[in-house]
Amino acid sequence: MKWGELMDKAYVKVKSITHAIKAKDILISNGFRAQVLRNTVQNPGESCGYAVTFSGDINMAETILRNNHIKFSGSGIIRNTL
Amino acid sequence: MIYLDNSATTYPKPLAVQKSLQTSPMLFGANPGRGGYKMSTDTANEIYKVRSLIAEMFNAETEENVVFTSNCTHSLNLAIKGLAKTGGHAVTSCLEHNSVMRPLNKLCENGNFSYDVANVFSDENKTVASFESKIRSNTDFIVCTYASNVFGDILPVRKIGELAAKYNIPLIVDAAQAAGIIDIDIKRDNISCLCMPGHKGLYGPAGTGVLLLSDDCLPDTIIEGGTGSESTDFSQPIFLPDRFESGTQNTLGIIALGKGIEFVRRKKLSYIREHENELINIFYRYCIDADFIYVYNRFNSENFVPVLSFNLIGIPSEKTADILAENNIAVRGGFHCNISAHQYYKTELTGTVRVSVSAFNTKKDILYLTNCLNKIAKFKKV
Repeated sequence: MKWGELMDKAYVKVKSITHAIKAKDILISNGFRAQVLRNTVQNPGESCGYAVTFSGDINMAETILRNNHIKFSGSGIIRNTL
Repeated sequence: MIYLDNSATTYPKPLAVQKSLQTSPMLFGANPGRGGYKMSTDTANEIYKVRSLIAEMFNAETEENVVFTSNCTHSLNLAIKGLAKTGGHAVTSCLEHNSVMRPLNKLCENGNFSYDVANVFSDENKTVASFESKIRSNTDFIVCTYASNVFGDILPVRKIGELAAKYNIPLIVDAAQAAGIIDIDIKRDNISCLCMPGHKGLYGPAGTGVLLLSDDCLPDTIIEGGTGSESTDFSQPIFLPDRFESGTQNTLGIIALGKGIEFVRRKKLSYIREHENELINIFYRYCIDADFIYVYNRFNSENFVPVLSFNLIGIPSEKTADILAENNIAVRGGFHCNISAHQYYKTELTGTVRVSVSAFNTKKDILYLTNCLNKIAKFKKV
């Protein structure tokens, strides 16, 4: 079983793949385990974005991303429903 | 073949670049920024690594400020046409390649745009004064080459950048012959748009180019389309790099370009420039001593990039290049897509033969060239 499959995961939504990879690299360099996924938590009219999912404190992660000028359009928790 | 046409494109490419071009189609063949599956995100990761390398090398504010294009001409068109306003004006230099002059002239076709040409002198301050004298109240931007692709003259870009900042005008720089040779820092040099080929001094493959934007410069778009982002909106995204990267990118070329940039970083700019200058200086000294050769400037490593134009007296430049080609030496004759520089150097009727070297050339290559030129002179009784 791979990392995170049984855990709830936090996510931030970003507009493009470049922003997603940058956010992922910043989170990893700050000790988070993070990965880039397609944004599957879409609001109506929202499409073709990416999400960065990660383990750990979502507030801390958001602060780190803001401090690094990463703009994200939403965040939340993906609950594991297994 | 003795390849001395590196101003057109560097050859050979480093082994890592060649290997990347062979292996990447299997490893990174998916479209980045479109899918969420592994190969797509792996490919996007590789592209991002190259953005990071370029951002660091040229001191860009962020990786997003690195826009991939298909070549330097593409970058220049995005910058020039994106910053031009109706009724606007530009200042350029007398040494510009057609990749600058043709977009400028296209803008002028409808009569709603104009430009003035500043002269370039050996005295940097006189050059800057010439640029300043051309600035008007409606000047949209200054656009100039970092170094001439024909004669190698380096323009005082840092001082021109200070001038642009003083008048709050964006500066577009054509770094086709400078990137990978000269230390360029877009913040220090006050450059708004740095336009570069990937396939010359950065040793990437053909079909790669870069437009590097400063944080305070956002040109209008001239190409719009799918970016993989904000797909429900008919308007082009405003954020970088998507704003200027419509359509599928040359991913395999960009990944290989990264290997070229790593090659330059390992060798170090200073070493590459010193090595190439040494070779061109050997050739320059040979030309000066040969009474059958005419050179057009006094080459020195401070004021010129390693490019030298010459002519064999009495032989057309294209003919000289042709004879050299028959002897397995690759150089370029003619006008090098730059009639402006030829007019300035009074070679607009003859063109020149251009010799340009890379990190891979050796003194033996120059010796082979000079021996061949000696034989041509003897045979043709130049």
